[in-house]
Amino acid sequence: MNDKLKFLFIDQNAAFNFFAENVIELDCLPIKARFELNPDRSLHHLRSCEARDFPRVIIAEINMPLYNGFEFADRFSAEFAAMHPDCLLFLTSNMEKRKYIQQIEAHPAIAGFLRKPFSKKSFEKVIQPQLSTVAVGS
Amino acid sequence: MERVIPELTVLKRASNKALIDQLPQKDGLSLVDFMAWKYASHTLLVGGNSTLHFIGPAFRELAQLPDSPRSVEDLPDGLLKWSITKGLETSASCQMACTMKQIQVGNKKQSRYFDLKFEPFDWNGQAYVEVEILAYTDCRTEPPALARQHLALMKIDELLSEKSFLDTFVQGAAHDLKGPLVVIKSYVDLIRRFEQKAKKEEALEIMKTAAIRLENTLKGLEELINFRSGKSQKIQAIEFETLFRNARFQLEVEILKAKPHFEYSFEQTPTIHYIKPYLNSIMYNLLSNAIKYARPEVPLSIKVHTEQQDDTVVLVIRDNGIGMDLQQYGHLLFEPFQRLCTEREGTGLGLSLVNKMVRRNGGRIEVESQLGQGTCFRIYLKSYS
Repeated sequence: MNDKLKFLFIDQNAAFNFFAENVIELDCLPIKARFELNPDRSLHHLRSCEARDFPRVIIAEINMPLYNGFEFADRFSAEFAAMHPDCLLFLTSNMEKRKYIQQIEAHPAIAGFLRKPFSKKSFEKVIQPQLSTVAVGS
Repeated sequence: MERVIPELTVLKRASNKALIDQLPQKDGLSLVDFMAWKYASHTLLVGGNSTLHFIGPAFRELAQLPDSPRSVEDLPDGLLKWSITKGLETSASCQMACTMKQIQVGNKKQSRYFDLKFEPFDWNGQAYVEVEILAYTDCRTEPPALARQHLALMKIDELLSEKSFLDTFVQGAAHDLKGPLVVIKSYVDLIRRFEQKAKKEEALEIMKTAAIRLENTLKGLEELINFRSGKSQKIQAIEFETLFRNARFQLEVEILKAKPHFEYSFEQTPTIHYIKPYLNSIMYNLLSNAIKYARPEVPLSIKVHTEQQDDTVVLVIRDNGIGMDLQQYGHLLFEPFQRLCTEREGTGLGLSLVNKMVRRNGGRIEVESQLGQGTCFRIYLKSYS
């Protein structure tokens, strides 16, 4: 259990969160996931996290009500990036990557883009290469 | 005085900064900057309490201002000051642009004419009015040329605004149509991998919800397309009580679940001459939102009534629901595909459509809301009678 990576999924569409939860279970991915439906609650959760509970990877939907993934990335960058340099923030969407690629590459706090839905393939090809080889977890 | 006008005018005339970069260049200025420069020469920018934030140099000469007045009150007494004051009062009361035409100043031997245009807008939470003054000496020959130029620039302004709306709309539509399709497609594969029946059932429910959401988005788009194409524009006498009853019938399922307590009165203004499908849609969407955004811990109360204000009928719908943070998110309220709540399903099209319907027919919408207490919509409808 201790070598599972802590992930935080932020998506107002519960269907995608449920999908990710089942993919993690069915494909036995080394992930301990938390799911939040809105960015405000996510920020509240991150503020209350102890260092060992802070997620290693955050995956946030770009098109969320009230404020979008990029605005979440701005707030994440301002509040948490310096204290948690190992935390990788990915943005996700059901739209094509090329729509967002310039914005993503220009943002210092965003590690990359994942096309929806979350899958074993996106974990292995996009997320894992960026993770440190040092085992993470409590 | 700082040159504030170009930035504010640019924001007002081209709500998306990216548009400015796409406009043709003229003498090193973008077309919008050129427009702002041209109008800045005969322009005032008036803020709260009639404070003057900017006076164009040509207006300063026109009005023969000896110094820099701080407010409209400080302008020299005369017909021009009176006209500006009256125009500001009118635009403030109806929250719409208004125009005063061919105000004559001077005598028969030497007179000048002015058209004044008052455009209220918000910037950074503050209310401003841009006063544009077209001055000409001969109303028989100059105004047509100036008016044509003015009209052409207004048309460009309108087209820019339309383009901005369409860009936002298409982007939102693509996202909101694609989302449910991605859910359905990916869940088809996921269901095959489940062994437990309960999980399969749960996945099927999710797919059904996605399909319903797709259907609702398409319905909303269809309604918006019909509205923009100008269909269903026949004006007729409509009874509010019938309208209200029809909307409640359409929302029968939601009403059974939410059990709202309705209080309504249409005694003061029982009827209106309007476009029936529009009014149906307005009543339906506002009641639907009031039901949808109820607080679960409090019995839902929805109050509906009408008032008469001169030739305007005001439809008031007040609820005790979850309310909204208008200060922070009010600018998103009428944008298509934007929602201010993550805990309730919605297409984000209803209010956008209502706003367009009302404004296209000369009306406006005022909203008051308190988080955790409720919302009140006041719809000002210009009666066609």
